[in-house]
Amino acid sequence: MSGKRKPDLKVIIMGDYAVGKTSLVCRYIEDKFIKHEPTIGAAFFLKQWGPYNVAVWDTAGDERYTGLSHFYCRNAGAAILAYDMSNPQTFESLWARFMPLLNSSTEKCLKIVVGTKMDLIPPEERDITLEEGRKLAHELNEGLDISKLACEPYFETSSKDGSHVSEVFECIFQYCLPLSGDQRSKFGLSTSTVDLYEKEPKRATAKKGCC
Amino acid sequence: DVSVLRQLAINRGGMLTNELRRSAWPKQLGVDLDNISPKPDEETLKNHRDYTQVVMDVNRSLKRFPPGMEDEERYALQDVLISVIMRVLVNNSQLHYYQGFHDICVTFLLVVEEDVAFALVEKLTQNHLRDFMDSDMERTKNMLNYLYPIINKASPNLGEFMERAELGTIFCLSWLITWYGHVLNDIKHIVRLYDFFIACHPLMPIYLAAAIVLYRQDEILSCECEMCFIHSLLSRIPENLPFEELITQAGDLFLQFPPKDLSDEAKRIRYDHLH
Repeated sequence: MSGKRKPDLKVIIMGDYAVGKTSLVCRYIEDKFIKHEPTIGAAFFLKQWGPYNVAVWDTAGDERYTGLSHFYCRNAGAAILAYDMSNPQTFESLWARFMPLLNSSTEKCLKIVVGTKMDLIPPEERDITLEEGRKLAHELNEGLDISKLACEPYFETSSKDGSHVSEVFECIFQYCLPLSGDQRSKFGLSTSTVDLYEKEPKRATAKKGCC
Repeated sequence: DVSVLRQLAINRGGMLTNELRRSAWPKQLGVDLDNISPKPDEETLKNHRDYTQVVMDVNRSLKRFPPGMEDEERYALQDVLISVIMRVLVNNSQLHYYQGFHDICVTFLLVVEEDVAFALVEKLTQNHLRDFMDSDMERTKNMLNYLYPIINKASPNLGEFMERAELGTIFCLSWLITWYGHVLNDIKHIVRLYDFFIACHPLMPIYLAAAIVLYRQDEILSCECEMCFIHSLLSRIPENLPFEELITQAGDLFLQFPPKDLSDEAKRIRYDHLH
């Protein structure tokens, strides 16, 4: 990892077990899709964003570890709340289990709701609609000014084919640590604005090992 | 004789072969191989509240099976693993499954056959593993809280540095609750540690964690005093650690600072990340 200094931003990923939290972060950071073991405790990844260091905390989904989340939520600039689009129960968990955690400690934290495993579910078989997803995402961010956010705080992704994965992270990073167009091109980042539903799946280009 | 076996398990190299383990582990744990409770029917196993999670966890735990194993063989072994886990849970309704329990069970399954693996693990859930299997983590946290008192006594500088970095104890959670099965790649190292832990006090994995942290003290102290960097450093255990020396060191720490001398301090510790 370069320049061992305090990360400028902390992003945490939460959600039920086996929704694909580790797959999401590894697709973004290593641009790979492999089967991951259950995460025990938490794992940490570091990502360069222009001149900044971003720490991404991947947490365990097992319900018994919910108590640890307070620790990870502390000082988090953004939280990704992930659910499995092919398993509506995991969407319910965002309401039931994770929303209460976030309300207490992290008012200024940006919350992004992310549906995973989009490739597994044909559009006509979906249980959770796009509107429901967006509605939850907006409710979670009540009290936070998200007018600067260049995207909806809701994404539907596939870590398997890479759809919309880098958009999730870049949307968060751009909101929390804004880079100018010049800076973005200097660091080799895409300069176009993020548009979830018109763009072809884009793969993260930066290769950086998990640390 | 159990005390001789215990001594063997702790001494350099441990049981040395899986053949020895197959006879020594049941004796040490007091498991009667002629009296293993029969397997409940499939339906009962499948109806348990944790069944779905167990299946999902086992299906994505490829790393724990020997690298050269054929897919077909591995699928069969994964099914056996699911049934070993479910048998323990079905027979003991007070126990709660935790992610990591499958790492314990697969280790036994790589050494002994299904019924024996079940009997050994079930026995361990009554003592060594019991605190991990509550519905919450309180008692597991209490075990983790022994780490800093040990380190603070053995190396006050290092303890102070780690506390200043607000490192906490999550980095060694998987070490404790899987007996290092989740974090080591070489099954030889894992079963060697299992010899040691079966023969010792349930807190011994924490004493080994302290020994590992102390062994890596220079690396830690040259790290930025910042939680995420030290967490990253420590949560990856190098494969070339001198495990035999570390086992001896853990045993020495245990004798020097036995749990009863640390329990008050461990109870007092209330790192806010644990709340």
